[in-house]
Amino acid sequence: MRWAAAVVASAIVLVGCGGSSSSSHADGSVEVVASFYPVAYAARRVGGPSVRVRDLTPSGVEPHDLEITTREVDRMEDADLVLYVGGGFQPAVEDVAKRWVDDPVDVRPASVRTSDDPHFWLDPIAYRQSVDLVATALTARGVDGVAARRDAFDAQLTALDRDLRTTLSGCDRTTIVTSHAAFDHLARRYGLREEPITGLSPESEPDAGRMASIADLVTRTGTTTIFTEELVSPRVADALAREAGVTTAVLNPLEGLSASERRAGDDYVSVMRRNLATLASALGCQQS
Amino acid sequence: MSLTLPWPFDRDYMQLALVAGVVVGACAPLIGMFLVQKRLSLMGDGIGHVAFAGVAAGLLAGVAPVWTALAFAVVGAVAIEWLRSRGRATGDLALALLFYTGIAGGVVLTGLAGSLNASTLQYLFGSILTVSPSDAWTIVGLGVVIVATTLVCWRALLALILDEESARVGGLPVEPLNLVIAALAATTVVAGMRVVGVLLVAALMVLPVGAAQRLGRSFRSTTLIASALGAVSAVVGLAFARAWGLAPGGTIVLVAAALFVVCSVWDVWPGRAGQRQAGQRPTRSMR
Repeated sequence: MRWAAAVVASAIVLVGCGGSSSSSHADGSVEVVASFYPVAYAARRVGGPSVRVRDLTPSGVEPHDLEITTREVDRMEDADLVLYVGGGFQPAVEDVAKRWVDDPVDVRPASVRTSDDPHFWLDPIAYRQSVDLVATALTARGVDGVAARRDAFDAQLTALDRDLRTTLSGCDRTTIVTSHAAFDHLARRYGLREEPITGLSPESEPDAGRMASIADLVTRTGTTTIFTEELVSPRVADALAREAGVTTAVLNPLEGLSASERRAGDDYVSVMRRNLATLASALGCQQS
Repeated sequence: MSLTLPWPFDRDYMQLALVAGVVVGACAPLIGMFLVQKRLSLMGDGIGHVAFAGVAAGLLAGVAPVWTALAFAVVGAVAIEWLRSRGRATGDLALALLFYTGIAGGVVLTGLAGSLNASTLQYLFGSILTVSPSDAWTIVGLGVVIVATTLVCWRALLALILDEESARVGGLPVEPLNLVIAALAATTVVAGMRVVGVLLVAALMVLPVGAAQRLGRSFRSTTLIASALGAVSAVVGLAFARAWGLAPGGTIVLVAAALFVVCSVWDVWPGRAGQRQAGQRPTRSMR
């Protein structure tokens, strides 16, 4: 069976060989690959016209589930800059970025790196720090005018933060029951308490004990609304809402924009403002 | 040192995928031959389910999942062999036990692991594009173990497969040899886990064997053909996946299935009927 030896030998020759490739573009544009929507949006906002941003996660796909094909790997290898969120949020993207891409940038700001919850972008302050990291990386790639665009975006995020703070500081209730643990950063920033039905991964099933304790919690805190999200089946949240006799409302974790949101011209800021309105009416906040 | 291969294997990641794919593609049918002859074609799938529980345990404990998967898979495979050979359960019942214990254990352990859920998907469906050099070495190492063990035990395994009773009468250590096959199957599943995932690895053990049985004229030639078809499935599957941006694990298995269909059609093609009757088909008569 000499063939077996041959297979093993050729395998050994192949491992450890291979060149590295570098990319450059004739037209001077900078090609950026971003792992999913909030990162891509930050790159578009601060990058301006000379930056071409590609969002790896297609519209309507839950980014945790993103399957990598050779197309995505090729794009990441060929890009001038790869932006991703580390910490196990999109393990396949993270693996490829760390292994095959020169200097990929993990856009998680230092303040959230030790947190279990990767959904930092739902806190505008942490998102603003992340935008700074994107701006620094783009400047290092020779993109012009980044600072001015970043300042304009920063101002918008600061205004958003101020409105969230003002509205959410005067509410009847402070507990938000959500379908998956995405809103912890947001809740902590504005003095709320998140009670997720399932864990950090949206597809996991809640255990029986958790269902019961959430139902009790809903009654105890006078919660009127259980929050669901668009990219995840609301089955469990619906069942719980039926059981507890409360309603459901969509709180968007901004892991991606749906096709209809894109058509309507929505972006990070407009969706966050809609989230604020949803929270305000569910929690009974005094809106002035 | 730089190695230049033509498209679609011009990238580093594709070359590592090629190594992993070819090694697994060539090794899986080797063990598959024995399983198919023993009418345990689905054993690889059962072991895969147990390996999934092993992956979840590894992620939960923070250990490299490949080793916990290997431990779980070997224990599962040995357990099934023990249940089967002691007559405590028939082969398919023992398999069913393995399947459902494995997948249920995996679900419970994944639930405990919480935030790490997303990474288990990579093992369920494979992630050949993120194979690292050390993963490739692990797979090559497991492949060497599989090939070496098969070569060393070849005659004894062959005798066992052809007729277990005569082998027993002839003084062969039947039980240890059955355990060797079970352990080899477990090793193969774990090696193939990164390539096509635990849910599909059994396909690479069985489909090339099914195809090769239509072409091979002896156990030995059938084994060689099956191994070659497995390797070809990996290469062609990766090329298709690159060309059309398809999920590589699934594409490799679909190519193996297509080869099976092509070989079956070729076998019953009218022009070949006379030839087939003239030639001896030991593989067939063995079953």
